[in-house]
Amino acid sequence: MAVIGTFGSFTAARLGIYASQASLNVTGNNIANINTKGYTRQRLDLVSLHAGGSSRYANSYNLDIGYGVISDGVSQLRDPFLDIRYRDEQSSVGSAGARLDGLQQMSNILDEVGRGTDDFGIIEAQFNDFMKQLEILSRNAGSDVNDTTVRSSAETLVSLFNSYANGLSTVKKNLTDDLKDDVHKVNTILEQIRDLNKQIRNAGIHGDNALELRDERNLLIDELSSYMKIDVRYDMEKIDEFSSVERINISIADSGNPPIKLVQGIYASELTMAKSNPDYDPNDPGSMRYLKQLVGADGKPVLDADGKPMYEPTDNAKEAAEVDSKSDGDRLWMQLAELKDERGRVLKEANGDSQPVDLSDTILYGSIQAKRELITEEGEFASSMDITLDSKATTKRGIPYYQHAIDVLARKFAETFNEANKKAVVGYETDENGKPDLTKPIEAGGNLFSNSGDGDSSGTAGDPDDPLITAANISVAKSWTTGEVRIRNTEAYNDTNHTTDSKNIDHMIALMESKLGYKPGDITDLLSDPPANADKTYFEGSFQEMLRQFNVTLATDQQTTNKLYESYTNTALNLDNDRSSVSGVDLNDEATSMMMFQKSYSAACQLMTTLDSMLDKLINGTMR
Amino acid sequence: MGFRITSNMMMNTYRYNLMKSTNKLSDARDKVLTQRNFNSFAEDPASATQAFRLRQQWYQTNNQLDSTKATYNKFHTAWTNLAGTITDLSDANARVSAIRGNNGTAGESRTALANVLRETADSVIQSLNQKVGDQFIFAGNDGLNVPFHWSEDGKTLYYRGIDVNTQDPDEQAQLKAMADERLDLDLGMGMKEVQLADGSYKVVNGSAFDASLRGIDFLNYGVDGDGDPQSLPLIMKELADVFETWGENGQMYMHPDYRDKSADEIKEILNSEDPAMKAEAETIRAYHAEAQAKAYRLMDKLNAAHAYTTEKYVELDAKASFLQTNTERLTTQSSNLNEQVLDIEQVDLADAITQFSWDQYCYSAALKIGNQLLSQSLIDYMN
Repeated sequence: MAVIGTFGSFTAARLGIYASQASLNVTGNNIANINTKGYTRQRLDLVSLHAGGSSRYANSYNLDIGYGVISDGVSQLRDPFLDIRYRDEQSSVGSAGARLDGLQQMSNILDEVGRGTDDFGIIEAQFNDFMKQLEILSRNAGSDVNDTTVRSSAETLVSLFNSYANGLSTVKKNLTDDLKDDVHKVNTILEQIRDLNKQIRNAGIHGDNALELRDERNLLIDELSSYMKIDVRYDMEKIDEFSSVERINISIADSGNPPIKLVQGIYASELTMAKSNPDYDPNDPGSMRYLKQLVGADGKPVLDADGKPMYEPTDNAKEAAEVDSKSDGDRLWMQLAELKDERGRVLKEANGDSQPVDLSDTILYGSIQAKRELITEEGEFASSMDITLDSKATTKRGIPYYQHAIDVLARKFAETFNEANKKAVVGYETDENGKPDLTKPIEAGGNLFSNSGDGDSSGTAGDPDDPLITAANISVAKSWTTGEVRIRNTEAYNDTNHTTDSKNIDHMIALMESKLGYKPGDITDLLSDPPANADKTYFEGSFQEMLRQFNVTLATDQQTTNKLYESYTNTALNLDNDRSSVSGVDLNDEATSMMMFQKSYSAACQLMTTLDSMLDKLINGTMR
Repeated sequence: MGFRITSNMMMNTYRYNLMKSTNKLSDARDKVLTQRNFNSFAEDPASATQAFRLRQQWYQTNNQLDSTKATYNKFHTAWTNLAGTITDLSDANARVSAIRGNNGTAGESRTALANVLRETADSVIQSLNQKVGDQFIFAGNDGLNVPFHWSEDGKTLYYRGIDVNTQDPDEQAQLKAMADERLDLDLGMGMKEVQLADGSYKVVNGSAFDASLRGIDFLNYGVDGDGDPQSLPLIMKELADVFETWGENGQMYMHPDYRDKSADEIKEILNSEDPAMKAEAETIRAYHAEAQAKAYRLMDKLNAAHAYTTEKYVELDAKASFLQTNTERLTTQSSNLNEQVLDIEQVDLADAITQFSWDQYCYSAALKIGNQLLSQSLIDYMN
C-alpha cells in the first residue's frame, strides 16, 4: 500500500496534531493531579500508524511509509514489584506501630520513672514507705499508733495495686474496642475493593482501563496492607469465548497453598471476631470453638442468676456472640467468611461453594495481629493449648501478662504478710496466784490483707464467691482496719509477756527484702487454662525487684518495638519514594513534556502548511 | 531513591525528617527541663532499675539512720541513768571497803552504812525502772511493763514477775531466757534471717544490732554456791542486814539475845570465868565471828558484783559509741547513695544545654530548608 492518496499526508499531519494535543491533555491532567493522593502518573501511548499487508500488484519499488501516529490509549506508570515491597513493609509498620501504641498505653500506667515525690516512683515509693513504717513500728513495738501508721501505708499500697489493675483492664478494654473498629475498617475496605472491582470489570468489558478507579483501589490495598500482610495477584477472567478482563486476587500472605483469599474479583470475604469457647480443645474433634448466646423459646436471651447472658458452644462463627474484652481476654478467635459478591451470592469454586476459614493464632501479621497479641498473649502464663496454637506463646507478652504479673505480686505480698502475721499464742492469762493459766492462751495476729475491705478472708481456692487475692481486689482486712487485729510483734509464746519484742516485725522487715520465687502456678485460679509451666519459677526476688522486673520487661519490649518501628517507617518511606520515583508527577518532567508536545504540535501544523503549499503548487501552479 | 526525584517525594522526606528533628528537639528540651537523663523506663531500662534500687537503698539507709539515732537516744538515757547509779554504788562500795580495814573504832558507822546500802539498792532499782517515751528502758522485751519490783517486806526482788533468787528450775530457765533476750534491729549490717528446722526464723548473728537492755543482765540474778544472792541490790540488802546486827555496846556483831545489854554487861559476860557465862560468851563470840565472816564474804561479793555491773556499764558505753560511729557511717552512706542516684539520673546540665542548642539549631535549619524546598522548576523559565 505504498501509494498514499493525494490527501493522505494530511492524515499524518492531523494525527500528529491530535497526538500532541492529547499528550498535552495528559500532561495537563498529570499536573492537575500532582497533589492527588494515590494518583499514578499517566502517559499517552502513541503507536506509529502503519497500514500492513501487501498490494495486489506487488512492486519491488513500493515504499512502505507510515500514516502517522495513533493514540492507542492512556496507561499508568507503575512498578508492581515496588507495590509488593511497599505493602509488605506497611504490614510491618502497622504491626510495630500498633504494638508500640499498646505498650505505650501500658507503660503510661506502670512506668514510674520520674514520677512521685522527688521521683521516687509511686508503688515503688509506697513499698519504701511501708518498710519505713515497719521499721518505726519495730523500734516502738507494742505501740498502737505506729501499728496504725503501718496500716495507713498498707492502705495506700493496696489502693495503688487496685488502680494499676484497673488501669490495665481499661487499656485492655480500649484495645479490644480498637481492634473491633479495625476489624470493621478492614471489612469496609474489603467491601470497597469488591465494589471497585466490579466497576473496573465492567469498564474493562467495555474496553476502558478505568485508571482513576485503579488508583483508588491501589490506595485501599495500601491501607489494607497495614492491617494485615497480603499478597496481591492479577490474572485474567474469561468473560466469553473471545474476551477476558483482568481480575485482582488478594489473599493473606504466607497462608499456604491454596492461600486464604480475601478478595477474588467481584467476590470478597469478611473478617469476624467471635466469642471463644474457653473449653475448646483443638485435639478433640467434637469440641466447638465459639459460644453463642442462649436464647429461650420466647426468642429472648436466657440470663443466669446474676443477670448475665448465658452461652452455649457452637462451631458457626456467624452465630457466635461478639467478643467481650472482659470475659474473652484469653483467646480471640478470628475467621474469614465465605467469599460473596455484592448481592450476597457465594463464590462457586472448583470443589463447591467457598467456605468460611478460621484464622489460626499465627496466620496474620500486621496491626490486627499486633493488637490481637497485645490483648491475649500471656507470656510465661501461657497454657499448653496456647503453646500448641503458637509455639512462641511463652515469649509473647501482652496486657494479660502484665495483669498476671501484678496479680502474682499482689497475691504474694498479701499471702506472705498474712502468713507472717497468722494467729499465734503469745501468752497466757494469769490465774489467781499470778501464775499463767495454760488453759487460757492469749492469741494475737490474723490476716492483714483480704480480698475485700468488708471482711478478713484471703479467699478460698475454687470458691467463686470468695476469690483469692488479686491486684484488683487486694484490701486491708476489716479487722485490721477496726483495730481488732494488729501486727503481731512476737513469735515467742511462753508465759512471760513480750510487749515490746519486735522479732516478728523484724521478720516482716526481712521479708520485704527477701528473695521470693514467683511461679505462673501461683495464680492458676485466675487463668482460664492451667499454665503449662505452672511450677517453674520465672522470677526470684523481693517485691520491689518483681515490680521492676515486669517494668524492665515492658521497657525492653518498648525499646525493641520502637527501634523496629523506626526502621520499618524509614524503609516504608524509602519504598514509597521509590514508588513515587516511578509513579509520581514531577513538574520538571511535565514542563519538558509540555515543551516537547508544543514543538511537535507546531511541527505537525507546519507539516500541514507545507503540504498545503505543495498541493497549491500542484493544483494551482501546474494546471494554469 | 530512584532516578526521578519528584517534588512530592521531597515533601514526604522533608516531613519525615522534620518530625524527627522536632522529636529530638523535644527530647533535648525535656532533658533540660526535668534535668533527668531519662524520663521513662523504656529510655534506659538498666539505669532506671539501678536508680530505683539505689533509691530503695537510700530510703533503707535513712530508716537505719533513724533507728540508729533512736537506739542511741535510748542507750544514752540508759547510760546517764546508770552513770549516777554507778557513782552511788562506787561510793557505797568504798564506804563498805573502808569498814573492812577499820574493824574497831568506826564501828558505829556500820548501822548508818546499812541504811545507805538499803537506799542505794532501792535507788539502783528505781533507776533501772526508768522510761524513755512510753517504754521501760531496762525491761528487755516487755517494755510496756515496769521490770523490777520489791516484795512488800523489801527483801525479795522480782524481775518481770519472777523472784530473781528463785529456786524453781522452770523459773530459773525463764530468767535465763530473759537475761539472754535480744532485740534485733536493722542498723545497716545486712540483716538476714535463716529458717530453723521448726519453721521459725532466726536473725543471723552479727547481721543485726542487739538493742535489748535487760535489767536482770545488768544486776545479775540467782544464788551462788554459798547460798548468797548474785544480784547487786540483794547483796547490798543482805549486807545491810548483817551490818544492822552490829552491837554498839559490844563493838561487835551482836547475837540478837544480847543486843539490849549494856556495854558493861557484855564485858562481864565475855570476861567471866563462870562456866555458864563462858558458854554464853562463846555463843556471842561465835555469832560475831560468823557475822563478820559473812560480812567479809558479802563485801567481796559486793565488790565483784560492783565490778560486774561496771563491766556491763562499760559494755553499754561501747555499744553507745558503736551507735555513734554507725550514725556517721550511715550518714556518709546515705549521701554516697544520693550521689550515685544523681549520677545516674541527673543530666550534666552543660551537656544537656549544649545538646538542646544544637538540636534547636538543626531544627531551625530544617525549617529554613523547608521554606526553600519547593524551588523553581522548569515551568518558571518557560516562555
